[in-house]
Amino acid sequence: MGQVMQITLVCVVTALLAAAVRRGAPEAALLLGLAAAVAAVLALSESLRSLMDFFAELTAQTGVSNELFVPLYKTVGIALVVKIGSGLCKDAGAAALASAVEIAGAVCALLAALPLLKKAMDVLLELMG
Amino acid sequence: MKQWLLALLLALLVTVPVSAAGVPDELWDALPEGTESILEDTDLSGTDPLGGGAVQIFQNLIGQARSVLLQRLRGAVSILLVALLCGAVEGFSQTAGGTGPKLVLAAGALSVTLLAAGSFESLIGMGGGTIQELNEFARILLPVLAAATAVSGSITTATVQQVTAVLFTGLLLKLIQELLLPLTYLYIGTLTASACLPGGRLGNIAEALRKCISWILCGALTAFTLYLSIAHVISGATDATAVKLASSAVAGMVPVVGSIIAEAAETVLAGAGMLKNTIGIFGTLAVLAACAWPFLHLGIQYLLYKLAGFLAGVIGSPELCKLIDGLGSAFGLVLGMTGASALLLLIAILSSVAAVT
Amino acid sequence: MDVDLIFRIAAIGILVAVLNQLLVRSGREEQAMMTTLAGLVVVLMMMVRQISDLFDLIKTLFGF
Repeated sequence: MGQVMQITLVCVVTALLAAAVRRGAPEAALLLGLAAAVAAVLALSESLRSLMDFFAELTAQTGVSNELFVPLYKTVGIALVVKIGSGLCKDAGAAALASAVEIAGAVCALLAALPLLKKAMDVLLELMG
Repeated sequence: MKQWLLALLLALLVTVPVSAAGVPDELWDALPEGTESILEDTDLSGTDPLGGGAVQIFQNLIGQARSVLLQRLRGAVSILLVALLCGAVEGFSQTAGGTGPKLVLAAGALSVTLLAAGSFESLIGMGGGTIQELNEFARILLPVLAAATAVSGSITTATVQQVTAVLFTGLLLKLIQELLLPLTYLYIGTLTASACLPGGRLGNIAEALRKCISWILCGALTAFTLYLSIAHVISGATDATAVKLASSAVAGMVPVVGSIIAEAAETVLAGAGMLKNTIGIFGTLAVLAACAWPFLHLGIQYLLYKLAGFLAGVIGSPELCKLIDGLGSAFGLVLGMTGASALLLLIAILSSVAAVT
Repeated sequence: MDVDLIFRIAAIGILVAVLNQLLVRSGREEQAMMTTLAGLVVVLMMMVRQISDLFDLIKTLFGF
């Protein structure tokens, strides 16, 4: 809870600073946004780690091999990066770049999911063969 | 084929001069695995051997039910945990900007199927093994019964019925092993695929497959019982209302296999009064004892999966719930197959014994 | 959290903006441009470390 407040405050203050700086040096305003986003996600690292630890523990309890869920986590990570990156591009007024980032994210997410899809194919073929 | 079987029968008739009183050694040798101990404890010459043996089998089952339940509960809990994990990951990925492909369902469905696969291997193997054992037992038992029938005078009835029964059990076994078990695997595969894809178009195909399997099974059984009732072998002389009550209760409880079990109960109840000779009782008890163990496992697994499906619907996505429910139905189908072959054998025994006094 | 970094970047931004204004007013457009670029490069240098940290974090967390 405290963390949410902290991050919200930092982001709002940064947005204000960026608005102040934007008239004189627009690129500095963008850099401010980037710095705040990076700092916010880095500050979340502990929480994210405990969340992922919980997922790993749950997976271990179920007895399913972790390789089924690793592609999922990868796609979540990709979505995280892509969302921030495309938002920054949009802030800079480069909508085309933002969509390029999103396309790259979709392709890479599918690529990361390939092992999972392959595994699904194997299981289905084994069941039907 | 028929002629060959008849020749074999005649040879057996010559070589095995059995009276209706004793149980020959070869029957003991042919008993399905694990049933000897139960049958040895049963007093076949007592006043009510059938009831005593059934009680023996029942007590044996109750003793083992707890350990089986614990063993199977672990798998069901694992599946519930997967549903929980999928729910958590789904929520996480949605808040993190779930723009990518919908993979949570695929991963969840795959892990549920993989988790169930171990149980499937063992339980389907158990069901198939029991069917096989029952068939081999039938091959020894039915000629002996036919011989007993022949001794009591009616050779033609005995041989004709026995040939039909052997033919039918062999046919059903072939049907189950070469068509129905692969179809069950196909059903599981289709279920998994439909759970992986959002929308659930494939779910209808899976449902059709399931219906197809149970229709074939029920059809084969109905054909056999129809033949026997045309041949006036079984007379429903028992209290009709009690039978109807019992069968409707069973059918309502377990939808997939209910009709089969209910039919079995009806037939056995109808024929139990005729079971007066030792070999018939021995055979009936052996069939019951052979089925008891896989029935316990499959039944517990079936109920647990249905329960897990319901609970997964509460905590997880409806797709996973459907998949778990369908896997439970697959266990029910294997249960039905085992039950069908046991029923067939029971009817065959009853019909063979009917002529013996 | 690296709030310091954000404030430092903001400070550099304001400084660059003011310098830029001054240089533009005094008619040295090229030098104003150079100042802006220099500020950009300095801030980027400060942030490269953080961004690589972020990527490392995501890589370890999500199992890449």
